[in-house]
Amino acid sequence: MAKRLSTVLSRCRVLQSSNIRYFSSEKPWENPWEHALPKQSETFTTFKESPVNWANIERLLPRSTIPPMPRATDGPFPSGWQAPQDPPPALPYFIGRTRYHLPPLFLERRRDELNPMTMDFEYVELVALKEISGDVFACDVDLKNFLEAELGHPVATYVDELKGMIKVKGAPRKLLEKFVYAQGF
Amino acid sequence: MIASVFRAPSAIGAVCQFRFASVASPSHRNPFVVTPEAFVTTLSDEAEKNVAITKLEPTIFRATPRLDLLHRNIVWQENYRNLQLTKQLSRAEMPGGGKKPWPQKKTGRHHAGSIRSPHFKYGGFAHGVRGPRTWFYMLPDSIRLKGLCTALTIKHAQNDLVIADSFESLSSDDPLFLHNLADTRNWGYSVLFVDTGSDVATKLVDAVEHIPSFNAIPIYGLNCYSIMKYDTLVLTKAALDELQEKILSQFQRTDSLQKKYKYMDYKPVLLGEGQHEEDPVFPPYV
Repeated sequence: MAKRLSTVLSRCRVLQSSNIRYFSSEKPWENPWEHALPKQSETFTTFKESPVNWANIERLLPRSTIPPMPRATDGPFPSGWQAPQDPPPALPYFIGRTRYHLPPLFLERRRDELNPMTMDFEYVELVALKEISGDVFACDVDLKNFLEAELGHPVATYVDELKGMIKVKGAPRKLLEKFVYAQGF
Repeated sequence: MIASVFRAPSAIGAVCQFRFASVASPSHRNPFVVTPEAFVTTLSDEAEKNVAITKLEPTIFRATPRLDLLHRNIVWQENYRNLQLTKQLSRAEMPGGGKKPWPQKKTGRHHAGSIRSPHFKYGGFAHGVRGPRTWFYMLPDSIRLKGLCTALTIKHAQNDLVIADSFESLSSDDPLFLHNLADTRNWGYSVLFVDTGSDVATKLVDAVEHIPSFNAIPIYGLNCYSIMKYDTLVLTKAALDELQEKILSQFQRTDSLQKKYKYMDYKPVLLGEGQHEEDPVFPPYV
């Protein structure tokens, strides 16, 4: 019985739409979509928007875009981050920043040799300085002088001019970061 | 990143001016970056008539040409939609073949365990194509963006990028006029017209309809394969601005660009695609 009732009701729904058309003076061919598409009615209650200060919640929501770089005038930063000089220093090269406004320093661990005593591979830790435009070799000379003065022992560098990258062996990443900040990039 | 060894004197302090000021250029501090420029032309006459000069974003139109990433993009576009629906049945799936057809010895015939063995007529396949298979994979966003930037850089560097003020400036809907216009301006055999949306100027649509090698697409249809396939790319100024804003905003998003594609992230979007079209009684109207 319940099933038959639903079919009767569905038929009623169809009849309802044809009844509505019957009472209008519009012919079916004047507006064919009215009969083809089902009538959808929505019953929403009325609402009233109350003013709420969402500031405390909005500051907790995650951001979708990276915020612009903080200025140097925003004060010393507890992490030791430094803003680049504006305008950039008058050097024959330029070191850009990453998407997150950090110096472009990346660590790499390459396999070196097999130690026959321990039967373990020995690894070499390298630091790559990327995003270098202009005279990469001049940057390499400055970098080498700075690092050797700080460390006291020679460092090995590999320059990839096409990519604007310098790989350094024998210097910690923190020292290269100090170089980038010291140059004003 | 190396653009020129010497500083470009006009580039110091030069900021790329865009209509959408909220999206800042990431390379505006770098004095060694040369800002590429392009003419803005009108399509009113057959002869080339330049109306303005516009600066282009160097990260998009003067990017390091990563041909390997462009190749990966084009290969991805060709393969990720591949679907194989054929299935070759094995000897176990073929009907029959459960019984040993004749005894092992003394019949003079070859040894046979089932009549659906691969060496039989109507037998199953030994190493056949097995079932529905997909070559679907997604490239990381960083590679897709870099591929787009490389393709656009190539088009601009090889003088195949044309910026039109608007497609409304096309004076005639005659396909011959558009053909002669392209011929006079040396656009080549195939031209791709890119507008902001799918509602393109009527005259252009009428003209392009009758020329098989000329096509018009909206900005959201731009892809590496199409950029490299067509000889010339014709963008409207509005489409150019929108394209630059969209690509730059992707470079400035907080999410990682090396995000791995996971079905879990797209499942609610994919399953909810036709939700608003569902009716409890009537089937969806197509």
